[in-house]
Amino acid sequence: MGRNAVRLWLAVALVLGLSLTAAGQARYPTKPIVLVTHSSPGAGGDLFLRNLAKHLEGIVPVPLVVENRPGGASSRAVTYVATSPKDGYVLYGATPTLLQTPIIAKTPHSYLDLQPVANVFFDPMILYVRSASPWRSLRDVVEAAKQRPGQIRFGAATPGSVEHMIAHEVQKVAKIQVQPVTFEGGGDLLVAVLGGHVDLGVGEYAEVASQVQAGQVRVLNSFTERRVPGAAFPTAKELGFPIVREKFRGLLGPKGMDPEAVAYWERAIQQVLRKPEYRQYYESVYLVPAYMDHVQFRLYLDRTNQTLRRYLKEIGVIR
Amino acid sequence: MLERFALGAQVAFHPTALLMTLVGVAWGIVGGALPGISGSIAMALLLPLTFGMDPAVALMMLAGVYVGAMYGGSITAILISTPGTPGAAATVVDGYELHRRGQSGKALGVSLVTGTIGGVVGVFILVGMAVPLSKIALAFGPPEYFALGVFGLALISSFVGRDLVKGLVSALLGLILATIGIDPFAGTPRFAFGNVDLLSGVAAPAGMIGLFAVSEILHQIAEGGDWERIRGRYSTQLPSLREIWSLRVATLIGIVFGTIEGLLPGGGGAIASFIAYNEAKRWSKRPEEFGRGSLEGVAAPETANNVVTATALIPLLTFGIPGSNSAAILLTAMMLHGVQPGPALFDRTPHIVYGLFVGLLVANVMMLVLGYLALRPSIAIVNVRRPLLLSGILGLVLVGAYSINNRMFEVWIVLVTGLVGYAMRRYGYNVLAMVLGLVLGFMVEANLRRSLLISLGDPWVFFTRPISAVLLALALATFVSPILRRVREERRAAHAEGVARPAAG
Amino acid sequence: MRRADLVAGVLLLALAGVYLQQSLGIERGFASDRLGPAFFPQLLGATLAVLAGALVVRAVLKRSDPTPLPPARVGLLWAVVGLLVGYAVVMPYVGFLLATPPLLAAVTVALGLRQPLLVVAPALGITLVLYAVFGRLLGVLFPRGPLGGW
Repeated sequence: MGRNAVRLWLAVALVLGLSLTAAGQARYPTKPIVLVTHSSPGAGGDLFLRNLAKHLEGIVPVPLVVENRPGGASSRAVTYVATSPKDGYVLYGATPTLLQTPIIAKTPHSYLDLQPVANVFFDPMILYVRSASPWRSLRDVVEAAKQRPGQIRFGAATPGSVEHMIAHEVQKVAKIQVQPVTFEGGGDLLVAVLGGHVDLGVGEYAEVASQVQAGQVRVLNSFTERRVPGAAFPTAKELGFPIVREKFRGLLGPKGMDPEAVAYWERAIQQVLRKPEYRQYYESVYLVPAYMDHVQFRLYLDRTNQTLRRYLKEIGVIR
Repeated sequence: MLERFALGAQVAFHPTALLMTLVGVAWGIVGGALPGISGSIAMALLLPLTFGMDPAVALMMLAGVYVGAMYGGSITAILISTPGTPGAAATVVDGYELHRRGQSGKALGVSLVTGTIGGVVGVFILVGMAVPLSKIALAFGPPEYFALGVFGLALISSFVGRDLVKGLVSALLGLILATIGIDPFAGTPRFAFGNVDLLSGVAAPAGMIGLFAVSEILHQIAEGGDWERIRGRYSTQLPSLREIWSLRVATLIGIVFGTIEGLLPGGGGAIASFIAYNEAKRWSKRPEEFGRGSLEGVAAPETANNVVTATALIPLLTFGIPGSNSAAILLTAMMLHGVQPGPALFDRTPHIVYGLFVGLLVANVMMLVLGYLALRPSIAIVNVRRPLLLSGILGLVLVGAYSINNRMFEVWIVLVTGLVGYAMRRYGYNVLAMVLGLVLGFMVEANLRRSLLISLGDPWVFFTRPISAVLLALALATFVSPILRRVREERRAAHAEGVARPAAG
Repeated sequence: MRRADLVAGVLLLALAGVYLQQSLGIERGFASDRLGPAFFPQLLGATLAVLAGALVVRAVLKRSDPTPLPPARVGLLWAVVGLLVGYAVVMPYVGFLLATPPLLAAVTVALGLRQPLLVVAPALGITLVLYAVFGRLLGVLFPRGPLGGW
């Protein structure tokens, strides 16, 4: 073997080695990642993803693209993600609609066709009255409902929603009967409470916070595990009504998604939640950080799905 | 008050603020003119751009989109019979008719001028009376919304012309279409036939594109003449000052109903322009021109729509409740920038609130200028050979339908409603009545059921509450009076014939 | 117009029948309101049935037929409708960019324009403008097809 031949072999080895290390370094993520929402541009789920994407700049080195796939009460977005490649480049920004729709209607895919990645936030739910109302606590409401069964007008959203579920559970736990009144949006309900057309309402804290500060609305309690940060009102649990319900916002990928990508996103979410500018934003819109890793999130979804199914049976939406 | 305005002007007349508002208005006109892209989506797409801006400038830019989109929507409503929002549906009636008669410039000019007047007056109403007017919003509960919706539906009898049976059938078809999807009260699907695409119902914009635009194209194809020969003959001549002055009553009517509509966050956003149209017709010196190309018929709904853009900010700023999708995006922008809506907003951050008010005025003036500049080019586009124009419109509305939800489903809705709409036109049914039914159906049903929930089952709730009772009485009068008038006219005609005959014989 | 009214009346009666029949199958649930999800549809269906009946009766009773319909170019109409339906079926598979120019060109030809340049150039131009504005600027997600995006 001549000297040149040795050089050649060395060169080949070097090139091979370099390209191997290069391949080793080309780890997830190497191309833009798509975040899918079932909301239209500007709606809640869309803004959640757009803000998350914005604050992940600098943490995730590739572009994050938000895609709107509305329609079919989230089933289109779920199907799209469930049938995407499993390499971790398509993720779904989920809300409780993910669980509700497949229970009510026959959809091609459900959350079981997705791989939970991480939960990010909870939207705290609260019970409120207008400031002219005599009620100061959920106990007053229960008292009044016992005197006038079925006559307290309790504003909530559509059966199947978290709001309606809370109205249902309050009746069950406190053994009272109220008249639930359906509103399509939290804003419409707030006007009806302010105008005295209904006696009380349940909704997202973010929707009523400004009226609380203006003294037009009084929050009786939240339905959270722990007190809402910075809030003066108790939880329902403290008052002796063990009801904990919230709206989750988390990320899921297609079933069988690359575990490395799942772990990558778990780290990224934990990191972004600590970022001061992001914290300032999510505190201003009253989102409570509620990180869960993929195992916890899976268990949470299973549990929530069972409760939801039981409740929908109790109110006769499903058999 | 003046001091605060000066403060606002300082913010709004800053060169960056002016530039951003201009960009916003221009973007809004384009977004509003594209079918399927509503003002709210145009705003949502700009939202990320505003993240780094000063809060006042960000809000002004978005408000610019909001204002511009309203005029953009009337361009397509008038030139290609495609209303972008339910509010523009009333504009189609006379606006498109004027365009068909070649008076495109006049129709667009009236929409632009009365729209600007509406927008500017709306801002002054907003500034002067936001807090007292917000009380009206609170007086409207479910029974009042129900009565308002019924009032809107009652307009059908004056829209449908001679054949009341066919008019009512048309409205019923729209109402039936509106019942598809998950029922919010029971939580169960209705008429979805196990199809997940139908769960969220038929989007009103898709139905309107089909019923107005596609049916019009099919109508032109089937009943038109020799397409190769016909070239555009649409004039860019603007309305004269005298013509604009003659619209003062219609404009005033638009202002009144636009103000009320904007205050009612659960109103749906279309009733004002329909009621304004109908009232303008009743008060007009030439009611017979309505439906055949009346300038007043464009002025009233367009004024109302633009007043709504300003007064819809009243519930937004005082309660933090968005009355429309666009207002919801403004609310998000406020929250993102740490501006808390509520009664205290006016005192806490006057530079932002008054900056927004002055910015809205500036945006309206910019809309007038940009709208004027865009007027001739947009008429030039529709002056191409008819086969090209029709295929171009088809391409535009199909893409618009697709972009409502990024899927083919709305394209199918547009095709089916387009074919139905063509058959309806041909056999004397009324497309407008069907649109009214589609737009108002859900609101009427939901508030009927909600009213009976809050009254604990008492059906008299609609008559014991004064506002709802008055609105229902007005609805009845509105429904019956055109019918009585028609009967009387027919009887008189028959009588005249009866008198004339013996004399002739 | 009499025959058309008769046909329409019968079709609308059938529609009302199907609609009413379907409304019987709506799940009510226990959580619903007093009127329930089927009340309003049944009210609409019944009213439609009555009005459709009136249309039929009127068509049968009325002797004169005062307004004959103007002739329509039904062949051309169905040709365009066929093109549109074909487009909607094919577009998800071949993509927006490949499906749209043939549709626009075909409609232009159907409406009587025959010069090749005037047919092809606008069809391509309009498609590209729509793709640029909606697909690029406004972020609409068109079906891509074999051509892919760019």
